[in-house]
Amino acid sequence: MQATDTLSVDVAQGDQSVVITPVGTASMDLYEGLAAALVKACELKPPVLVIDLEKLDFICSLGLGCLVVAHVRVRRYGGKMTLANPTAPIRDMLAATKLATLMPIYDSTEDALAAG
Amino acid sequence: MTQPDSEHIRDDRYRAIRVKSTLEDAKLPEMEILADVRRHRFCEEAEFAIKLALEEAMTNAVKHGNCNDASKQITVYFFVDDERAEIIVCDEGCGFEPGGVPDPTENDRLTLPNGRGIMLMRAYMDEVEYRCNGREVCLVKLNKR
Repeated sequence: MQATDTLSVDVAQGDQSVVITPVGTASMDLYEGLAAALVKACELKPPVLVIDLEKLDFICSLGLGCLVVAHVRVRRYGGKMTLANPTAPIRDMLAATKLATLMPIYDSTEDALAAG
Repeated sequence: MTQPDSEHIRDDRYRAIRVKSTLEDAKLPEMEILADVRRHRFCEEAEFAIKLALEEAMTNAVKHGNCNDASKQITVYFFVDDERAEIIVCDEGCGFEPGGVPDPTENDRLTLPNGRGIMLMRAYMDEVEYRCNGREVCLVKLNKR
């Protein structure tokens, strides 16, 4: 974890998919950047939305809540949202909260896109 | 620095930080507390746990305890030594009954956006104790080097 937290969000749009890559720390004062990117992605209604978590070193419950909201929105329009590459601590959080049972987790973005 | 309000935390070991009740200001104690945690050589997993639990306690204090009222304050008392980190987060709200908070891991609650804070604190800390009718939460992490 960095001394001063930062969060940026990369977005890659394909024909049938959007991949969102948050980079840094989705802490209580920064998670809204992730929330905004997820809202925009859902408005595009891609068949597959992948959240690549490889470069996310921390997420608070507010950030997890954003993922849940996006998951529900994507499911509502008939799409699929998956998670890829979570770091070990975030994978543990997804297991502890049982969100891993709600959102499929893949070991790579490629696997997540292929599964979509 | 402020003096502890509560009888049970009038203890020289504790330091206190009082902040305005916003999510931005509530972040301020974290850097100082985590610096102490690193200084006392807690492992990375413990540091992650303390950061997470502190964020959840502060978020609850801002949103639920102080009801997003930025004129209210949050006071954090803490001490860290080689054995343990202890953090007490106090809000100025009306309190609540922690036992009445539903389990967010139940199937019918998984798709709700919030309600995971207390569960995460309990999952990641060694002790979580609510006091003063829920206006204070004491978080303890043991140093298991």
